Parts: sequence; structure tokens; C-alpha cells
Amino acid sequence: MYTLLHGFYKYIIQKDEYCVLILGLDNAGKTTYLEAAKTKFTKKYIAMNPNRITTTVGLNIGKIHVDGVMLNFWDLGGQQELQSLWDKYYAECHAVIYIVDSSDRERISESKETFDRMIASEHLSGVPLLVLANKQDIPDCMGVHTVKPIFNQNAHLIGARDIMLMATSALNGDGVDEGIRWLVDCIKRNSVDRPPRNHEDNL
Amino acid sequence: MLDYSALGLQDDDNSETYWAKVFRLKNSAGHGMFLNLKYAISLLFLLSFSKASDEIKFSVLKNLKTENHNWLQNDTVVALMTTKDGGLFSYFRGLLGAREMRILILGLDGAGKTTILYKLQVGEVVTTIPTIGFNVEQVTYKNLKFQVWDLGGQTSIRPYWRCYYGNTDAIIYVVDSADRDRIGISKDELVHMLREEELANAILVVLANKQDMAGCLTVAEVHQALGLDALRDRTFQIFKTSAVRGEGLDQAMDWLSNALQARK
Repeated sequence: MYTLLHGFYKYIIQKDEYCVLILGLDNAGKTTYLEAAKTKFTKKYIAMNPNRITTTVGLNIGKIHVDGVMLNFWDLGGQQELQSLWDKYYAECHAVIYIVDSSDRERISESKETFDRMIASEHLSGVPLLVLANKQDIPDCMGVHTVKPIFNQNAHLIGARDIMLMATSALNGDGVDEGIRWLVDCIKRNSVDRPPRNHEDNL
Repeated sequence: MLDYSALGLQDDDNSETYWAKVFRLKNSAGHGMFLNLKYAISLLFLLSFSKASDEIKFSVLKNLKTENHNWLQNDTVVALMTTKDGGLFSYFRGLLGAREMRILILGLDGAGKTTILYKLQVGEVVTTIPTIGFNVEQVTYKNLKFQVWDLGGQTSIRPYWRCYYGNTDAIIYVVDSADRDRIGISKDELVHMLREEELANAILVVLANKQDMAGCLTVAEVHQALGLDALRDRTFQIFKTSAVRGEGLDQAMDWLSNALQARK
């Protein structure tokens, strides 16, 4: 009887869990963005001092509750040699946030090539993409109007999936909220193709 | 004073044989010579193997202590390690707040765990011998206090790592990046360890150590060889280090202290 009730209780409080990959070149601001997202959506969360965030070589995770679902972020390292590890996560993710350093004009084409390589993967087909032109707090950075055409070039690779490009500043937290809410709507719509990860399967 | 050689005690006996002989010594009347010695020793054991702060005092003797452990036979070391479980005690201490962060340094033998521990603690490279048993030290990094355990990495004592898993905040897993032959074993041990329930919330730091050696594995290679891409629910970070040169340890401790503070 206890098991039955307990199971029912767990069923009631259980939220659908979705996984979101945070990708982009090194120093684009992925970890800072994750901290900003955690700060926005978690009460009393004290974010890490941005000055003390180092280059990620590994995995940072973050869980947040938004609009009745749980998002599980995977923030991976962006250095060249670590990009080969990204595809290990593609099959299990429900959405990708791709972060671009809008202040770095020299590497924008490198970022674009990396983006194309990523979306060409068959494991990511149909997955909603949120592209963020980050570091809008830096004066003289490229605005959405400059970044958007660059990333829109390969429409055939993007295909029918949801895609959105937004301006953000992970440092100030501008645009973080809107982006994640948009993404959650897309993930929910896409959940027929990519059903939520079940808590029982976590082991 | 006693005349050792007349009593049949030799310096080169291993410690167990030595003590067995001592207990068998009889005085001229045929009575045991050191009747109370056993009680004294058992009381001493009760004292020392209950909490880390005692251990830290004992390990003022540092390497000397490890050397003493080396004099014990394997079974005895294993018995000592299994009794070492301050679970309940540290739980109450946790309730009182101001708990030190508990960190385990693990990895295969010869990976450089002890060198890293003493590099962190005294800032110097000390000459180490293979650890049989463990070393424990209090390490202060940027006003944070850590209780750092360095457990022996030899095959025979690896199964006893699990006795130390309770209440662990972080694991520093040390890999010898130059040892390509045994990276597979290192992976198996890591996978095995991360499956433990008690470590579900522990933060993982992987140190790709011995980066000063030629032909060593790169960070990405270590990542792949350890199968870290299979991890989905744990924050982890890999650092290149060279313990003998003292490179990379600062970044690793900086990241770790940040991650531990953010987790609270």
C-alpha cells in the first residue's frame, strides 16, 4: 500500500525532464550563461563570481525548473580539441543553445563553421536551436542584425527545426529569461519526437 | 633497560613478529613480562582511529607514519582501513555547521597522489614512498579548510577505498598521463567508483598528472580514455598538472573551491 501511494505521490510531483546542451567556441561565455540561467530561475541561488570562471574542460551541469518542466543543462568545453566530444551528447539532448561571442569579429567565421558542423549531425535532426549573440554588454560588439545573416546562410542544414537568434548578455543576465522560455515552448512541442528523459531511467 | 638480543628480539623482524615475541616474553618467575601492554595498545587504537583530527595530529609524523604502515602486513593494513569509519560522528559535526570539506584523492598507484597532497599542504615536493593505508592532512586554500585524504592506490587496497566514501564532498582523481598501458585500468576503477550511491553528490576533479613527461596523453585523450563522456549528472573538470613542477594545481583548487561553494 505504501509503495502504491509513494508511487502515486512521485507521479504527481514528477516533472518532465529535458536536457539542453550549451555549446559554442571557447570563451564565448557558456559557463557564465549557465550561471546566469541558474540565477534567474533558482531562488536564492548565489552565482559564481564571473571573474573566477575558468576554461571548462569537462562538464558543468545545472538544473532549473521552468514552466512546469525541469531543464538539465550540459555545458561542455569549447576548445578545438574538445569539440570532438560534443557528439557523444547529441543523441540524448532535447535542445541546443549555441553561444557566439559577438565581440570577437576575428573568430566569427570559425564559430559559424563549428555551428555548421554541429547541425549537420543526424543525431541533432529536429532539435530546437537557440543561437545567442552573447556579450552585448561590450560596446562596439556586433548586433543581432550583423550576426543573424551569418548564421542564416545554410538554410538547408537547418531544415524544418525551430531556430531563433537572440541578443544576450550573460554577464548582466539580459535576454536569458526570454531565450529559455522560447526554448521550453519548442521543447514541449517537439516532445513527440524527443520524449522527456524519465527519472527511472537515470541510472 | 632490556637487553634486546638476549631476549631474542631482532631489529629486522617485521613488526608483527616482533610484537608476538614481546608478548611471549616471560620473566624469571615464568610470568608474562608485559601483561598490560595489550590493553595499552588497544586503548591507543580506540583513540586514534575515530576521527580525522586525531589522525592529522598523528600525521605530524608524515612520511614516518606511512613508513610504519609499511612495516605492517597487508591484512593488518586492510583491517585498519576498514575500522576507519567516522560516519555517525561526522554527521553530528555536520549538524553543528562549520564542517570542513572532505576530499578524497584517488587514483592508481604511482599516479602522484601523495606528492599532490603534500604539494597542496606544505607547498613543497616531498620524497614519497608508495602509500600503504592512507595519509590525511588539513589543507587550507583561500580561507577554506579541506580535510584531504590520500588513499593508497595499489591493487590490493583499492577495494577499501569505499570505506571512505561517506560524506565525501569531492573526489580528486589522479591519472598518470604518461602511463598509456594502465589508463584502461584507471578508467575501470573510476567507473566502478562513480557508481557508488554515497558519491552521487560528490564533485569530480580529474588531474591529468605528469604532463611534464614526453609523449603523455593530452586532456582530450584523457577525457576519452576515461570514458568521461558517459557522465551526465555530475559536474566535473579535467586539469593538466605536473605535481613535481607544481603546475596546474592552483587552477584545480581554485575551480574546486568555487564549485564547492556554489553547491552549498
